[in-house]
This record gives sequence, structure tokens and C-alpha cells, in this order.
Amino acid sequence: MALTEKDLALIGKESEPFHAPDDVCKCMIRHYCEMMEDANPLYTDEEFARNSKYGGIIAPPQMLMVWCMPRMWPFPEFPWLPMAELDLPGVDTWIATDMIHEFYKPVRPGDKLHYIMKLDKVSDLKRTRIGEGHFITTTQTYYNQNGEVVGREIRTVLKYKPNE
Amino acid sequence: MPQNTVYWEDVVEGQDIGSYSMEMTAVKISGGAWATRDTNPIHHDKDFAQKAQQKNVIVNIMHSEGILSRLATDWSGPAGELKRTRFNIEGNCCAGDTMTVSGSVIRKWAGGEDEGYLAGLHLVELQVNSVTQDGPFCNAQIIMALLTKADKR
Repeated sequence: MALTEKDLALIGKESEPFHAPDDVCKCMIRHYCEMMEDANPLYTDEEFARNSKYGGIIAPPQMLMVWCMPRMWPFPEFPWLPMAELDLPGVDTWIATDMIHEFYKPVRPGDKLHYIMKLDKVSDLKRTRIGEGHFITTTQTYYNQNGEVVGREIRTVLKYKPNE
Repeated sequence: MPQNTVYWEDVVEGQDIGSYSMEMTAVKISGGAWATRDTNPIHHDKDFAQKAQQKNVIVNIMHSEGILSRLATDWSGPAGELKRTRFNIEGNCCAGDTMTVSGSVIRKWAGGEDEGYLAGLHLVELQVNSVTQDGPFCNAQIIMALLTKADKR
């Protein structure tokens, strides 16, 4: 099945910015490293990091998404998002199928991040192993307070109707 | 603290980059979800997870990505820089499972002019796999920039 005109018109559109609720901070970095059991001294050892080429602590690059996760309370109003406007009739279950992260610049304690999500592609209805659905590809571009692009996340999800 | 350094010249395609195992307790899984600010109850609430056809709470995506990326930097030492990760989920990892992460070098090359932000860097691509005792959980292809001996100060 082909996409509706309304859904087609959303492809290529960008969201409003999603702002991280907090500045990048050492304490969230430590909580993250504890759960990964990640002893990379650039993330938690002040002296080591100060003497490195970064001149101080950096956040694990793969924490990019974490900084912009919404707070649980008070629940935020979400910025306008093209993905949320898709009708895609008949499909209502999501699964992430592929996630790519690219890291361009170090993220440091004190940085204020935000991202903008672009709707890149929506496939026609496809039959898959788990049901019929549409593959949706988006790019989240992450910026710091200086307007520099620090990284990108390119994600493909399947929005589908599970097999009976 | 891992302060070893792997130099690009010494890397061979196909070489093993080591492995580790983690006992994924319910506390670890919920803690990993909080540390990545993932509030979905499937990572915190056993009853909810069981209604969603899982044995128990399941490890969230950002926690899994962190555990896989860690193998890359544990191997390279802190001088290795994560540049690109591609991550796929193949199965599940629940409370009570043992997760084992292992990997190898699948490609070694110098970033070409047409490779954008990777141009001029000394690169390796790693295949990192995570399994539980019941089978595959997730995997990643990770591109890292390594130091060369000429960079050594």
C-alpha cells in the first residue's frame, strides 16, 4: 500500500528542538559508567583526563541520547515532531531495527545539548517476519551550546501490525 | 583503570579484541535503564514485563549500546576514539541472564578524502557481539580511530 498524501508531505520535515533537561554533568556520567562497568579514565578520572588531549573529563560518546531523554516529572510538552504526525493507518506497534551513531566532537561537563529530528524516509507497506508495516528512518542531529554539531543518530524503526 | 594503548600499525584484521561477561540482575537492568533515563516499565517492573511476554525485566537499548561500546575502548585504551556505531537487536536479555560480550577486528584502513569526518584518521572497524546463555542478544559494528606510532608523544 502506498502512503497517503499527508504522510508523504511529512518526509524531509524537521522537528522543533528537543532540549536536554540538564547540562552534561559528572554525576550522570558516573552513574552511567557504573552500570556499564566502564573504567575508561577519560570519563571519571580528573587527573588523567586533565593530562589527556581533551584537557578534562569527557562524557562517553555513546551517552549522546541520554542527555536529551525527557524528564519523568513534571512531564514535558514535546516539541512538534514530524514522526508523531504520521497516520500510517492499520499499524500501531513499534520496534527499533537499526541504530547508527556518529560522534564528531567531544561532549563535556557543562555542555547544554539539544537535538533536531528529521524524518528522512517512510517505506511503503512491507511484509516482514513479524507482521506488515512501514520502515521509518529518522536522523537526530545533536548540537552543543555553541551551535556545533557534536553527533548524529540515524535510526530505523518498523511501525507494524503484528501477525495474528 | 585500562591505560593500555593499541597502535593502529599493530592491529591485524581478524584479531580477537577480548571479551567479558556480566551477570544481569534485576538491579543492574533497572539501574542501567535509570542511568540512561529510560522509564519504560518493561525495564523496571517484572509484572509488566511478563504481561509483555518476557520472562522478567529486559535490558534497555542504551544500556546495551554502552556495554558493547565499552569492549572497544577497553581493548584500545583511552586513546582510541569511538567514531561510529551501528547497533542491532537480535534477541533479549532478561534479569537472571549472563551476558557475554566479545569481538574482533573486521577492517583496518586509513580514512579517505571522501569519508567526511573520518578523512585522514587511522581506523578500524570492530564486530562486537553480545549473547546470553540462550543465544544472540545484540551486536554492533564499531568504527574507531586509533593512535599511530607517529602520534606517540
